[in-house]
Amino acid sequence: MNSTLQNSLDALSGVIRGKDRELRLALCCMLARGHLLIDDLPGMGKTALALSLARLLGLEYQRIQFTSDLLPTDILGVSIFDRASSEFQFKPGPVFSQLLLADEINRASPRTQSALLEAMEERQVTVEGQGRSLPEPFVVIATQNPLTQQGTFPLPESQMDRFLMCIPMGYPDTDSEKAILRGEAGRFLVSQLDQSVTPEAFLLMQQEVNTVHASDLLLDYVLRLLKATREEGYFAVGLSPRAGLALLQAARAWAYIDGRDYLIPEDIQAVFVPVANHRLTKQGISPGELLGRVNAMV
Amino acid sequence: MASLSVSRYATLWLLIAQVMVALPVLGVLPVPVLPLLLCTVIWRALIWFGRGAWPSDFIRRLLVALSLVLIVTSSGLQLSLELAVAFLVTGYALKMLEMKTRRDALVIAYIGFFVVGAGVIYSQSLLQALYQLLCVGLLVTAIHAMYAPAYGSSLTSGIKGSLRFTGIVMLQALPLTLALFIFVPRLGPLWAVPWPEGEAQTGLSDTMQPGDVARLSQSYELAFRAQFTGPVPPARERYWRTLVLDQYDGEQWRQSDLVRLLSQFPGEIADERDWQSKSPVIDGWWQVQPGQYNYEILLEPSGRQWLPVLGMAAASVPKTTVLRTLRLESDKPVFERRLYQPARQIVVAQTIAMPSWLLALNKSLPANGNVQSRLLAQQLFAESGRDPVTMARLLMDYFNQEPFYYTLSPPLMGQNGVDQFLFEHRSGFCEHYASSFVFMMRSVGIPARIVTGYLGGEYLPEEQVVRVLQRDAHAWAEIWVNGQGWMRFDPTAAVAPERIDLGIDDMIERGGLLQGQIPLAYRFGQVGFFKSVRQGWERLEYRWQKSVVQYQQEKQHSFMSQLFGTSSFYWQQMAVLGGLLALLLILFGIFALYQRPVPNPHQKLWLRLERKLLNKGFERRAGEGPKDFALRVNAENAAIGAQLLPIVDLYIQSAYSGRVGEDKPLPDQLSKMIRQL
Repeated sequence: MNSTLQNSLDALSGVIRGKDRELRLALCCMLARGHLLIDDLPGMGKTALALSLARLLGLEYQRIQFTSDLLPTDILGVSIFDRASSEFQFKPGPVFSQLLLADEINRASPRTQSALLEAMEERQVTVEGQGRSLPEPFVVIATQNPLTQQGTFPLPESQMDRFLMCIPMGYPDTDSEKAILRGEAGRFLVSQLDQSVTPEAFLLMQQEVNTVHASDLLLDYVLRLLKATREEGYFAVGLSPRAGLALLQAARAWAYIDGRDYLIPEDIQAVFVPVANHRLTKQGISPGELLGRVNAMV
Repeated sequence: MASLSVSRYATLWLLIAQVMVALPVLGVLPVPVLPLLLCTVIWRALIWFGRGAWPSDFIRRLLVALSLVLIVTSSGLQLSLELAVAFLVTGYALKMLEMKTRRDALVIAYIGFFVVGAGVIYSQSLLQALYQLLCVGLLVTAIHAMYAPAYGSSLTSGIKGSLRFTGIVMLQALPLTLALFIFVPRLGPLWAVPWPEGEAQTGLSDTMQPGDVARLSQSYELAFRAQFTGPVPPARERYWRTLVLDQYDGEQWRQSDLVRLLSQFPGEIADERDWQSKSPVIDGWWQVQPGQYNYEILLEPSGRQWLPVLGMAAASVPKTTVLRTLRLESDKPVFERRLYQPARQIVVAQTIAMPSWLLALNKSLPANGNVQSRLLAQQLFAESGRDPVTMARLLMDYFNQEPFYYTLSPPLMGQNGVDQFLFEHRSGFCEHYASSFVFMMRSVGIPARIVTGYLGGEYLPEEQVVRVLQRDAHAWAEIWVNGQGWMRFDPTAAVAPERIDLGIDDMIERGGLLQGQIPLAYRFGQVGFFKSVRQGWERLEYRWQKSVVQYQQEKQHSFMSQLFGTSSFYWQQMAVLGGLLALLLILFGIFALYQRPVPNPHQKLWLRLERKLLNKGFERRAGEGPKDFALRVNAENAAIGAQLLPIVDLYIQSAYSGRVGEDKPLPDQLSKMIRQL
């Protein structure tokens, strides 16, 4: 186990109780240079998670609350005429940060959503014809209310693909919830977290993740999985090659947190559901069930 | 899901296939159902064109109820084949109105195959078989269309692609079809639907009233085909002897049965064998001589027991009996086409007398009636010098010289029918002549009887096949001559020799026997080019019937006996099963070889480990990775786990880390550890 990261995770679980797996997935997602979509009801600790991660990694943090009247300029920034210098001066929007929490992203209109999503993909924004690159690392944690709620604009499948992972937070278990109620855990603790990794070190880690070795045997397993999503008739549309790359990258980060420099099938299985869940149209079985049907070894 | 709905293209094929498949069985459906079926097809077509809406649940249920009521009211609730077929076809049509998913469409296609199968019940002709092949092709195309992503750049190229696929698939299926056809045992039906009475009986009946044969002469149905090897008798000699009618009640000729004989002639019949014997030769009445003609007969289903034979029947063939009247009878009514080969023998009577009871039976007449005929007979008998043969000749001359006419539509005759015929109308069909001939013979004490059967038939020289239609039905007479036995006399020959020489067709052409009643198609088939085309087709049809449709239990058995060199049914089936299994294994083997990647050294090693653990009761689940598996084993059994964990660690290192080298030989240590586990 990578000790630095393990310490960070331990610290995190002091704030957000009983969500070790989700925390690790979130960290894993950031290590893999991916963006994270958290899909759950309000009040489950989504904001607390984003805040703690920012604090822990010492990242510059911004938050946008998405509403239906939010405009792209509210995210990207706008040029304002400065009397003194008689020039237009660019006022960067909240997107120019290292960790951006896009809260309730599905409440904004598609036009605003796509402004953010472009930034996520390109890691730069174009304002008034001028490209401006975003700081490094750049991570978006978006939260989304389940689509059954009123007044939401569901993200199109193609844009869901921009997120490396989609995880539900889920209710805490009884013990953890009791701790929260007792005041032993919660958002108020965020300010007490110590920064354990510098942004520079985190960038280095991101690069190291790329070097995690994937053997032929393991690639065969990934291919079997991808093939099963496409051919067995379980899903309407299977995973794309980009999804395959994302799966591998996420698994690398997972193995890296484990302190390994090579992948084993368990890494793939650990990240498969969060990576595949929002990219597959569910039909016969869930992605989790698919894992049980595809032979991991031979 | 959008991708699992049925495309318009596939629906089009399904619709076409449905109409084509249902056509041949429409004839057996109750008439009131037909408009309903038409409506459903039109409705579905309208939906296809985008001009109709899917029926609501309520309407669908209404349609089902309506069709049930229509079927049951028109054909009754009694379980019959027609009822079953009607339900099948109606369901097939209605299902189209709720076909929304691919699953529905598949069900419809499969029902389609079933309906094609149902068609075989009603006809097994070559034409029907070709048509059914077409239907199967359409259904296969429809199924292919369901899975085809779209029909590509244009409809025509799509159709071409689909048809090419169908062709390939059907060709691929050919070897298996042939193997199944040749080898699968022909088992009897597990259940039988009652055959409707009366409807199924065609051809000659075992009673004869004036007019019966004439009615039959208007039927263009095939009665049977005879395949000759060696010489073929000329048309005038082709008397297909079928039934012998020896009892007369003044109106109707019938076949005397055993019960009536016993009551009439008590004590005369020693046992049943005397009347009906497997081999009449034993009785010493007849002797058999090798016959000239070698032939086999393919009889169309008649629903009756008689089997036509050229001349008199000699020895019996399997599952038949030779009756004392020297005719062949099947043990069961013929409901399926039947192939049999009468013995190549002719029967010659020996110089002995008939038992008195049989003589009496063949002389018996009603006590009164037809006085004039009796008088004429007395007169001729006296002229002949009381000689039966001369008497018969005189009678034939009488028919010839007096103005008698041969007609298919004779006037009706009442009481004293023979008198009326002989002295008033003087026109009649063969049964009138035969009947009055036998009457007059009997009236002077000469044993005589009526024989019905078929005369002539169309000869197809290239195949040496004689096709006999129902319209070739004929009736003639036999008289008993002491010392010579039963002699055949055909009074029709005296009146209308053309009938005997040329057959009924030429009679019709010349004499205009049945004007305006002959189907146009039939008349076409008698002319020049059309005749040769028709005959060519009939030859094909005969071959089809004989070699394919008639490939039943016995033929299969003899074929397989030759093939496997054993006549035991069970060994044959074992051989077939063994062959099939071997074939399957080979196919599976080839399939597996092509499908399964060759495991690399790591995988081989892992498989060995898995086998070993399986013996100890630990089975890896399909989705379980090596580490998870080892941890689970460890949790369940720490002793094994203690050994296993280092092995799996080493395995993971060597298989996944890339440090050991994936194509380099594995550490010997690992394989040793696995061995020791």
